[in-house]
Amino acid sequence: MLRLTISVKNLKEIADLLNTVVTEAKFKIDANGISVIAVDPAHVAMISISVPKEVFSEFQTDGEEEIALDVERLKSVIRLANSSDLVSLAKEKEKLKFEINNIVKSISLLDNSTVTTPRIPQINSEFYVVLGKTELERGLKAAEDVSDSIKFSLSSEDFRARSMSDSEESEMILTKDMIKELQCSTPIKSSYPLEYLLKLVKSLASSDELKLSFKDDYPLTIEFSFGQGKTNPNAIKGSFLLAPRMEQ
Amino acid sequence: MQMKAKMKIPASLCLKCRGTKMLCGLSYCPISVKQMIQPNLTRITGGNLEGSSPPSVFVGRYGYPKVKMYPTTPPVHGDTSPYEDSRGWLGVPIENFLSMRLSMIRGGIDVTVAKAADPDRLFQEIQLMALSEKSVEVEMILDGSISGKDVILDEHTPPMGPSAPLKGFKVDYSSPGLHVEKVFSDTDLKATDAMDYLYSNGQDVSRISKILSVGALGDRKARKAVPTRWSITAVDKNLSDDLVEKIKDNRQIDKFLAYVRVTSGNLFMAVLTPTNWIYEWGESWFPGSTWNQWGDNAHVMIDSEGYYGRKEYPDIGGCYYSTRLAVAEKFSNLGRTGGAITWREIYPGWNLPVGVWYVRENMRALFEQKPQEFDTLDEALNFLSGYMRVPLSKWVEKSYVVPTQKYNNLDRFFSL
Repeated sequence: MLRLTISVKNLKEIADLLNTVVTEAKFKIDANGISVIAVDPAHVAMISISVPKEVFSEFQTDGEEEIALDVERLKSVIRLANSSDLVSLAKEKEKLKFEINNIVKSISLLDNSTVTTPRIPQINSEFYVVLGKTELERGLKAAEDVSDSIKFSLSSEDFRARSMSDSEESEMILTKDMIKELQCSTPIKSSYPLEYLLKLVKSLASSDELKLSFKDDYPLTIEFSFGQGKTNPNAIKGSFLLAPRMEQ
Repeated sequence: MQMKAKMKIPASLCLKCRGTKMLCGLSYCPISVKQMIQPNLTRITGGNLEGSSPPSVFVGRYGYPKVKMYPTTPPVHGDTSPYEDSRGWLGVPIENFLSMRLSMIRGGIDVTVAKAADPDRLFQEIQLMALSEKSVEVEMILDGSISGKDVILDEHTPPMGPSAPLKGFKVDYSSPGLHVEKVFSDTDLKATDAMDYLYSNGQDVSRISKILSVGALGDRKARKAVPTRWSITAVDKNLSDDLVEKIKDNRQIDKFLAYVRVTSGNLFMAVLTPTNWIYEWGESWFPGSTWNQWGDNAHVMIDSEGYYGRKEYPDIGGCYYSTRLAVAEKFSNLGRTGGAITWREIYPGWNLPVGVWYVRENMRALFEQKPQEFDTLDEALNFLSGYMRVPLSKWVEKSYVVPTQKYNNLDRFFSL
């Protein structure tokens, strides 16, 4: 029997994050918790999230199982609740039953075979920067009306996020002392689609710090964590991969 | 014969319209179709049917591998090739097309598909009939009366008239012509190679699929009858697979080429892109059209493939490959390569399935037009949006090609 209880706030954040790339997702549940990986139809972005069992106030499962869900349906159920509420989920045959306060609602599960789980790729970049989410968000918003892509560059001295169009320009510069951590021995740069980054940052309601790793014209990895005690090993952890935007 | 409409049409409307103004909102006039078919069908007397078959043979799919095979003829004499050649059907009013196809009467026999490798006399006669290049005189003795309920209206195969079990059969088959003769008698040639050979020697999909469906292609021992519905998609897929591989070596087109074609009840659109091969086919069925009788909204569905193609059969069905063939033919004719976004909107009056030929021929006609050229994808899409009834954002949201081309993707770094 599968029965889970989690805070609405956490579940909402998970659903919003998944929704930045997909409308359907398959969750893997085992004795350690829940994990999910999804890639958007254009293969531009991938997100993976793992939720350790400690995050749940109730976690009952009989070994390993997978459930596939329509993320939009999940979000519509969550909308019935307040973020301070708890939600209990139970699998009943081909349905997932939600209990939120005095509301009971079931949504149908999708056939597992219709939702594919992408493989986790080998993406390694040794250079990274750890920054506050609000800072990154500010840099992205500054670029939003300039272009649909943003160029990140990293050196041993600073991190820059720059957008350009024929007539306009926007740049955010964060020097070493304004950054939590920085690891970079030779300057690197790469451009990314702004739309995906904005959606991601908007969905990351309760993360404070983001670790961005990349190299020249290479996929960007953004690692984040959230949930009760973000620094604690039992926080919800995730990573977001984004294909570089090659300039014409 | 009854043509079932999903709505009641008030008589007063028909009186005002008389088949000319389409006041009922349908894309064809059910009354005209009925009147056109009636005289043909009343010509059949006693269970005896004579006619010139284009030639035409229909193979059912129910009960596979034990299926029904139907030699088919209209009860008219002379050159009936327009009844069977899908390339000409767009030039015919839909009522005339329906009345032609629905007067194609089928006499059915039971066959096991593998019997094509070692056919009995009747099966062999039907094969030879199907191979004939020109219309052939046939005489069929049908068991009992034909039933008008038994007509075929299918999303994949062209419409077909009613059927009855076949008791007696006489055919005056004619020469299959040089190329068909060659592939029929070459029992070592693989079916896929035979299809490519016929196509490169000027035979069209409707004839190749007919020859494939009677089990006349391929390695002698492996020859099998193929249900008509599957044979059409098999040919569209196989021919387009071959062409797509060939065009990949060509130079890319230089600009975004946008095409629009408006037909009764349908809008066909395409953007060819100056990129590597990438392809998508999308359909949006409005409420009241064939496949969306009860919905409230126009529903957008898209299937797609990247540079290396796809492994699974697309959910969207055979039109995916019919259009893919039209796209590959276009690039092949241009001597260039590129990607393609192909979309179709289907409006409420279009509520009769006529077969994938309709999509293939409309897409071919679309690509014969002069395109509008643009420097960016957004400009090309904006141009198309002027014709659309579905908001562009709804198409783009489901699109695979649009975001991939805008943002590049992860496929270059690892395989998903």
